Amino acid sequence: MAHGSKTVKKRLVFLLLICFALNIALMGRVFYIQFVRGDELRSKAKEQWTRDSPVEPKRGTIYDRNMNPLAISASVKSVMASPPDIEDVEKTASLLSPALNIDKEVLIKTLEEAKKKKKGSIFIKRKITDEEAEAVRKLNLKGIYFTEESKRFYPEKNLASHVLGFTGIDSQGLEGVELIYDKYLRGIPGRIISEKDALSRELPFGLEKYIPPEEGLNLVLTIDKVIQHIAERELEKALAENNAKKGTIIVMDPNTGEILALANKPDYDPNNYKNYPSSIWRNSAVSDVYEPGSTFKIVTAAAALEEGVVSPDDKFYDPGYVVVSGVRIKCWRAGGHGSQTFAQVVQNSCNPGFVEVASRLGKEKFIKYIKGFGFGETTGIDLPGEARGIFNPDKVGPVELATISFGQGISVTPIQLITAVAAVANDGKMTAPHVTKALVDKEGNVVQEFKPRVIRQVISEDTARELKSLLESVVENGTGGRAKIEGYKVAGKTGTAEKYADGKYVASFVGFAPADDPQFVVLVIIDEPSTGIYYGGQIAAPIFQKVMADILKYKGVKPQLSDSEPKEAVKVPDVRNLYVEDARQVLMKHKLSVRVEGQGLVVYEQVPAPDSEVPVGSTVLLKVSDAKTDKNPATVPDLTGRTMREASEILNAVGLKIDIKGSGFAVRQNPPPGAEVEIGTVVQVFFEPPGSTGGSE
Amino acid sequence: MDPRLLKNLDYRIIIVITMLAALSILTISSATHVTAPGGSFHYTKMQFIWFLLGLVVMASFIVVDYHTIAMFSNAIYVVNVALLVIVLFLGRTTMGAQRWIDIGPFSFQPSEFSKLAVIITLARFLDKKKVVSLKDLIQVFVHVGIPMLLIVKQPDLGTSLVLIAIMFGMMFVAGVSTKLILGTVAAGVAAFPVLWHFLHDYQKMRLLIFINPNLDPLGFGYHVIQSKIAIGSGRFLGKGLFKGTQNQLDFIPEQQTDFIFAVLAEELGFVGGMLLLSLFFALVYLTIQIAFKSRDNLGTYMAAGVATMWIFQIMVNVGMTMGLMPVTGIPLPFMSYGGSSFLMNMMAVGLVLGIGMRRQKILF
Repeated sequence: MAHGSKTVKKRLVFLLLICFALNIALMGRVFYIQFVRGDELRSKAKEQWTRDSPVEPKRGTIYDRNMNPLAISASVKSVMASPPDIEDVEKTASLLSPALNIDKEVLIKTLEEAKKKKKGSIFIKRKITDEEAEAVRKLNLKGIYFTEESKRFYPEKNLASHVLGFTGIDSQGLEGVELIYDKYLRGIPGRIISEKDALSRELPFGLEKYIPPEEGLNLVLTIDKVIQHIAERELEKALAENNAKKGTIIVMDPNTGEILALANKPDYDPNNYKNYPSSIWRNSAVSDVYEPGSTFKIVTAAAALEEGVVSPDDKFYDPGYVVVSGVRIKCWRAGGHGSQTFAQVVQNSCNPGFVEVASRLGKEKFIKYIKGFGFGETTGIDLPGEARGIFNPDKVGPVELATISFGQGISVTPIQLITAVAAVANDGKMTAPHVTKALVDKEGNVVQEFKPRVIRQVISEDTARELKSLLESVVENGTGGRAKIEGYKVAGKTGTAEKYADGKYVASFVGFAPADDPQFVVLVIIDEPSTGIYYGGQIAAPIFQKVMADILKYKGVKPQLSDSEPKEAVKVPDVRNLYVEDARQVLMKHKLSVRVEGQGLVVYEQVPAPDSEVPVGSTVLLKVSDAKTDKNPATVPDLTGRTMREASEILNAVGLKIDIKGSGFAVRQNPPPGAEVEIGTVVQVFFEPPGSTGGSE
Repeated sequence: MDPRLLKNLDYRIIIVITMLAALSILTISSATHVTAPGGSFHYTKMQFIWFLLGLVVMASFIVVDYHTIAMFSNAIYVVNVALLVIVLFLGRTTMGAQRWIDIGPFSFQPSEFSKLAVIITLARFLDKKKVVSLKDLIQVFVHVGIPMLLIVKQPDLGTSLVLIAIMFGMMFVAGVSTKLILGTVAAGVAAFPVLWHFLHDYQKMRLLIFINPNLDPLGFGYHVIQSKIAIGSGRFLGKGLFKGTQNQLDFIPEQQTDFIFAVLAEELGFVGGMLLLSLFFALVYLTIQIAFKSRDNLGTYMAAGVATMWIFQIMVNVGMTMGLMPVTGIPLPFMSYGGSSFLMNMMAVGLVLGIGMRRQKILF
């Protein structure tokens, strides 16, 4: 080489290095844009060149367990506009506005705005009537077209509204199973994709692609339309009769956890859900809590029997109250139940008895079972808005332990309570409550089955069996007498809880049948009855009785008692001229059922007649009247728990006189109940004010 | 010309530019929608003609000794300035810039050729005179400044920037002290606020948009955003030739000229992008190699000038499509559609090959 400056060569190498470095930088940038930001830019690209019009899929049908449709979708028309194709906005709007009954000025504004923003298509009015569609079709306007959308219909109107829920304008589930199973019912929207260029013109050669929508899956519920109907009918009637604020009935199959009926009243028609206040949409059965009262004694008894701290024959003594940490807790029955077995404690729903049982259990073990039965946490039922109830184990002191034993100081949801009782009915195995059986495609193939799921064994099979027979005796001989169904073994428990507001009560009954092979658990809750009677045994038990009897009949469950068990015969005692409640007691002791006819306090006739032989469990018809009896000597009636007015009326009816001592409710009397005395004898009755703690039966 | 010289011809460069031309013709045909209904092969045909014509022009630059070319340095300089003056008065204006001179059915862009003219004449200048003082430096500035300012006047900021890059590149290789060069650069930066006033509004806007492309996404920023979307959606193998949605649906602006890289990267993906950048690097590498081996400084300076021109144009153009550089209308050598640009680059290749071929004295 002729020239040889080292500087020149060095600098050439330097220039090459710069070139190399810059080249690497460019390559790195290409890599960054294509790989690091690739996905983002790719979707941006797609967004730019495609116009996407959704095609709504048909929403799945909801059936009851016997494939009766409860929610169906039908297609309806919606009016759309393609703003770029509308030449005369003014004219289009003035023709459309009367046809669709919408404001002209608003329409003009909407269309012009859409035109300015170069929108491809907009809704003018959605889900229109056939008449409106016909009117628009006749106008035959450029840039105005129809699209098919689906509208939800609930053919059974209010039936099971709290289970079904409803859907909004975009067919999106808003409540109930419509919400929970929305993603399955909804289906996959189809699309019409057309290409457009950088100037938003649809390309004449641009491909248009139609992706058909995929129909939503059909949902089969565990709800039985007939049972749901029975529950709703009885609940409605009960609310009217008792002038109550609201009520809930749940029917569950304890073996599977399937909910057969779930009714709250008042309810709403999901076809026009907007016409009801949103508070009515609320599903009280899962979202609201209440104090269970004595129905919770089932949990206390289960824990005590399982832990062996009590057996049915253990002796208890109830003086009418019990003192816990200086707080005096009274029994619902003034004067107490006296000496009784644990079985009778359950039958009589004796509060001090249960307080004793809870203290034998102790806090730790009792809490273990309360939690074991699922209180304090959601059951996981497939309905929205489930509450957990109010139970805080950290705040349980001796007084709380005592009150919780009879269902006060703890708040539960109806679904929690029925699930717990179902566990007892199902040999101690708690099953998860659920309202859906399966998801089915349109050909009827099962896509997903919701199988029964056992959560846990809460108590042993033996304990469950023991408890079942105790609960059976509650209906047979105790406070739940009005739940009795002829020919069937029914088990259950009443409950009455006083609300914190004065004089307001929640009456409830939970029970199952047939007691030795339970197939149905029914919970009845009547909130704030306001006719003066509020005891669960008086209000809720008869509703339970009607619902359960109808279900057993509908499901063809055969009566067991008449043929399965040979009956021992009993001699019908003479209860004529007795005060009606005393007569009931006497007959129940003889294992006879009672039906009362007429109005009044004293029995003047009985069928069958005294001394006739009848099988155990037969019903004795008592005819009562308010006429005074002239039986001499008279039998002194049991006045315990009566008000002064009641006591004096009763005594007057049987021909005796009253001498009032104190005030409140009767606790003692002289001569004692059952004594035979001359007509006109004066009976001394001692009254005391009612207990401070809210009573249960 | 002695035919024995041909054994020293660097065929590798010819292979590289042939491949570049092939890529260019393919990409241009896609960018101009030859597959679309009603699509025309006009641009494809024209680019192919420029390539064939370019081979002839290249050959003539190989045949003529670069020393002979350098001898006409003054004449070249005068013709260049004259053409730039003519374009200012008689040139055709398109898109706000007066850049073209029409000759029959064709039009050419004197500013493209002035790049090569500056390379040749400045090489001659630097070969004759060593730049050591500020006075020498000012002489260089005046030499380059006259054509540069005429180009700025068109206005064509991009090309005038290329001239500045060539000037610094060649001075650097010619061994001008780095202090002197850096001092000038510092002065230039210091003068920037003053120069800012002389910029056109759209030029100011482009610089601001470069700093923040989202400033005006539907206006000036649109180009860069769309270009990035196109490149980014290409991914590894690209969407396939003629299948790039952003290109075919005209979302990429100026897709057969300034933003041709975006079309290539969208349709041929990362692989295509890497191939193109590698070919460019090979071209620059081989050119610098020739500068290195040149028989004399004149050849070295000329080749270095050509290399600098390419490096700068590639960097600015490709960088611009990916938001690394501001938008300036600088074409991508051998790739962008355009006869003036393509022919000038083929001349430059011929010049470089001629220098490489004559690196040894022929011994008889």
